[in-house]
Amino acid sequence: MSDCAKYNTLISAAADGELGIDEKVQLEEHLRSCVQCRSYLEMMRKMSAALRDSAEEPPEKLSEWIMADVKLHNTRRIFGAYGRYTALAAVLCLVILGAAALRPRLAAGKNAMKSASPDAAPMSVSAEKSAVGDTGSAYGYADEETYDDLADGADGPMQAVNEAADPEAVYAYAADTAENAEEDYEADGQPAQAGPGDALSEFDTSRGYKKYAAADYDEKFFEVAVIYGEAPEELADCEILLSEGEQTDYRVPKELMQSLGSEGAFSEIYFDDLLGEYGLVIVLN
Amino acid sequence: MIGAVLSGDKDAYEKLVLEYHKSVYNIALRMTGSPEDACDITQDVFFKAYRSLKHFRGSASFGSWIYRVASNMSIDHLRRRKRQHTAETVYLDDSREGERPAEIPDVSGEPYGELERKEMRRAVCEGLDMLPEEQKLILVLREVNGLSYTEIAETLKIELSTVKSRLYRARARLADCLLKKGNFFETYSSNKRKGG
Repeated sequence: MSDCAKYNTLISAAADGELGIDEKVQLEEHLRSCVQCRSYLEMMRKMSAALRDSAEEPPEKLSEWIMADVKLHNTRRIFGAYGRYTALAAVLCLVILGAAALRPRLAAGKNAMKSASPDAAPMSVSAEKSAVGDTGSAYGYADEETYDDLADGADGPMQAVNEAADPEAVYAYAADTAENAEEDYEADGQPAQAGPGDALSEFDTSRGYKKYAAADYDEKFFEVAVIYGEAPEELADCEILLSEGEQTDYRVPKELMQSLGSEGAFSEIYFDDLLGEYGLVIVLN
Repeated sequence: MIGAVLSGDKDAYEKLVLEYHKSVYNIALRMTGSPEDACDITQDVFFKAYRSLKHFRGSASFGSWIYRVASNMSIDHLRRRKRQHTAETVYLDDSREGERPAEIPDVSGEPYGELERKEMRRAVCEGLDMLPEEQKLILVLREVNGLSYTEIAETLKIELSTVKSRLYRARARLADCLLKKGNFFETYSSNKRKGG
């Protein structure tokens, strides 16, 4: 077997037709006298054929969905695709509530966040509410009827914007975050390397936040990052997605998120689109 | 084509989408095992690619570039999800990593029917799901997407020699998983017996 072991990578490459001439000659000579290696080569080929056979056709409309995303572009990229309309509506509602008060702070603060000390405190939920007026939930979720309309994607998230206060501020804010996100994003899909004053890597929680997917594909859950603190009792029954160091991520039903928001259970909210991926980050203290 | 897209031609981008979306989908599908997640990831990949195209340096082909984005996002998704079937491989004997199975069955059987092919696909996908991310990915790129060794090296930014050795180790591990499950290569052996 030890003699055959040295032909292992050659046999694997032979299954792919990727042998050089010398390698091919070498292997063929060995295969003439080795039944086991011949069987092994055949096994590799059969396995490869089954793997090739496993390729599937994507849903027929996938390319249409992709192009629809691209055409939405500036306002779309806040949440993951399957939750995009519902979750985007949720964030836009939040932005509507806080845009007038938050925008000057966030526009400067996006750069400030990059070099902020861990002690820097963003605006609290209660401050947001008082700054923009109480429209219900601190997260500014529309009432259930509007939220569900948006989930159906009737006119998409712009419906919510048009019907809400100060749409101009919303557009401006979304464009601002999208533009800044592009600068930080590297072409190969990797987060920008952290450097002095640069965007943070995904799992850097030293400044107290991380980005997350606001809703999973069935649009019913949010991922809530709890950092440095005690989670509310309401999260006790929620599925834990990740537990690392001082951070625990929970999978929280949408309705629970809304009620926690309205109760002021979250003391800090960050909007983080630095890497062009996800929008809302919630930190509990 | 990239130039046209950068000039704002969305039709040009649509051509790129039509050309590559199936391959990207299959990378995401085989990595995550979930058609819904694969759709999500595929949409995200092309959206990100569209927004990041101005950073595309052209040192690699567009295909290699977008496959790299798809690979990174699929792995990212797996790690975030942290579900049981994406946990560490259930490979039982790590001390034998890179070695062939002790017993190599005779797989020189006769051609098999559609039902057997379906069963083999299912078995190999289950086996693939048990591999570490790195090995799963290279098998997907090679076998499912049909990338050459050079293209794989370009996509993953590794040496050609690394492609060869990593592919071998992935296949050896997959073969071991399939042998342990006991059904994949029996299909071949039973066909051999049927063939007389």
